[in-house]
Amino acid sequence: MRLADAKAGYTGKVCEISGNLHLLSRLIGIGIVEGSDISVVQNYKGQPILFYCKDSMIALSRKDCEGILLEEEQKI
Amino acid sequence: MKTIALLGQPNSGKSSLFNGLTGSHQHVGNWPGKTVEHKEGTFTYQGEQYRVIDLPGSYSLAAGSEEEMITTEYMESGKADLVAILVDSSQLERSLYMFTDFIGMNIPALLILNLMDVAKAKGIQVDVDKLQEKLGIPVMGFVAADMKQYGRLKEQIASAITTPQCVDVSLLTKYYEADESISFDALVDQQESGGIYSKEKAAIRDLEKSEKGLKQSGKHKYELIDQILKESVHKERVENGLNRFDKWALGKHSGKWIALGIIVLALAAAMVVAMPIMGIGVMIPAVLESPLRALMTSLHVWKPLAEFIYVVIPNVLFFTISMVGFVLGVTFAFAVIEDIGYMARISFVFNAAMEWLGLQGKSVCSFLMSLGCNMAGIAGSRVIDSAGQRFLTMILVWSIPCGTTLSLAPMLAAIFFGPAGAFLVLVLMFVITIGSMFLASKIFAKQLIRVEESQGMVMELPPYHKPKWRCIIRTTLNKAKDIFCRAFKVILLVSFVFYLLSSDWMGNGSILVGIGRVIAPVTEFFGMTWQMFMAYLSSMVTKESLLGVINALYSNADVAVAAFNAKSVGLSEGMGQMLQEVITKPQALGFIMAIVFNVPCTMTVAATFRENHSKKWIALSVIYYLVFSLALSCIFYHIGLLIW
Repeated sequence: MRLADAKAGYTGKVCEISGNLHLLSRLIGIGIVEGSDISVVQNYKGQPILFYCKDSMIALSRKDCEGILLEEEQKI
Repeated sequence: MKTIALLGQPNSGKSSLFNGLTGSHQHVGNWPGKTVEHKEGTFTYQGEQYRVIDLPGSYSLAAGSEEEMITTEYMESGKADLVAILVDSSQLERSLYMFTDFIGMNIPALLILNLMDVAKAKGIQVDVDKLQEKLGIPVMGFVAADMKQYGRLKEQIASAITTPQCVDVSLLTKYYEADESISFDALVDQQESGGIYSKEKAAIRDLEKSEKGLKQSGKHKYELIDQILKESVHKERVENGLNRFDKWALGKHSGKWIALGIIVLALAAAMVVAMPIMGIGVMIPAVLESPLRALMTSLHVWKPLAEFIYVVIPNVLFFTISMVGFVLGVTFAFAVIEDIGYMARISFVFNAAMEWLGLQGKSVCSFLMSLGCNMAGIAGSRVIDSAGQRFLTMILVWSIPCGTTLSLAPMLAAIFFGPAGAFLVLVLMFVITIGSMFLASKIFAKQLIRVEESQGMVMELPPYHKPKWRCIIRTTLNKAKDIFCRAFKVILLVSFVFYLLSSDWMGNGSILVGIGRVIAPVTEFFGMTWQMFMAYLSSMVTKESLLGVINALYSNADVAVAAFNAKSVGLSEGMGQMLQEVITKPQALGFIMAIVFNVPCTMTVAATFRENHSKKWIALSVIYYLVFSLALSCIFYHIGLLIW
């Protein structure tokens, strides 16, 4: 499932990230790599998506979330 | 003198540690040729002086943004004797990334686990000794807000320099060697040794040049972090979710209203701070003018020079102090918002609107500050972390009518078009401001913002902190002092030139009047009499001078004195009547548009230059706003001719 489509409360492991070198290095720098646990906090249309990753709350623009694929672990 | 470089991610408390360490022994400027702030300071420990360089905050050492490039270049220069890496103890999993990105550089390092108090409150226990043993470099727990801990920090720094320890690169490379999808050993063999990078680090850097390699490399760095933390950190509980305030503060609609409310409150608080200072400013001409005048008269000083001393200088001081008062207040209020962690929320809720302008959410604060004073907006743009977007924000700030313009324009409009007309003009101004920002963004964004930087928001929302008053006050005062010195010099110089041009030297009119008469046929095309055009030009020096100049030119009074004696933007009844007699309605409409969207006052232009150091782009911006405002004047004048 794409992070862009994940609803609030969804928890999963990142199985793929894609983008150009600059975006990738920004994502990695803020803690998003393959295998990172992500739990979505808020996903409203027209706003960046909010989620927890490695103990931090991250806001990431919708466009960039389209390139992040999650593998579902469990639903809360 | 030994040099220590401070390295850390945003929100790791780096600036507060820098302030605590160096106190008042610091110098703030820009990195040569860059728009990024350069902070350097010194401290003394046991008779020895140490230099501290505060490297720009970034999430990694990849050379993506201007900040990261500066950091990387500085590290490569080998000027640092010690790198002090700062991490947020409450978010070690993520903030240790900077440390793993540093591994393999041949510079002695010290790891500072900041915000230990926050970590403790979150139920995170960090075994500092264990961490030190695993990493092979000195590690210390720290609370940057606690002034009592700096003695211990200085001691650690001194000992880390006398017995330098570098991180063993094999700590990290074992994960790369085990990865079968990359042939790491072969890559290492290709590297040449020497310089700041070990062969292994050079190989990692090579690997990260491809997308696949970068992804694998990132994964391995976090593998190392996980492994280190497994043995040295114990978490009691995991908190995932928004607290009650954030549910509102980040809500779809409620978020914007809360943000606007808090910004309005901040501006009000800023005024409370600014008022006493501005009050002192207002008193200066009143206090200084008559004694100076008496002194000049008794010394029989040549009249133009005497006038310059007793009219121009006190008024320049007054303008500068008033502006600095306002900027100080606004900087202070917004520094508090940034420090408690709310700034990131503002950026979040206004992100969509700002993306439309090619910017990011943080720009919205600059724009709102500019409604009071453009210069405050310029100073406020410092919180924007991408250099290109910061530059564009400053150019767009110029579009925003400042407090003075906002009171002048409706007042003029009321004289010519009545109260209803004034309201319409105000609405028109608002619409054109938005349009102007959009247009300027369309013109400048492509050149200023590099493609890599124009990506969407990637931001951490930090947990809320208590404000660190000492650090905030020090930063604010430093900034105010700096602004005052620079602004005073610039405004004095410009005023001097304006004075030379506007003073009546020979008794047959000033140079300004002479030029005005010559260019009158041209300015009339734009809907301005030459008197109005001169007022338009003087509004580029200070907006407040506008009415004084126009009044003086029409009543043949002393222009120079009138321009500088513009303490209030008030309007006498006689003047209102006079203006209606000499200026037609279409001219007035065009003129109002021209002055509202003219280049901002000299101090704003100077402040912008002080921030970005680019003559080329300042010149282009000035030209843009000149052309834009004259075009508006021309258009509205001709529309007016059709109506009346």
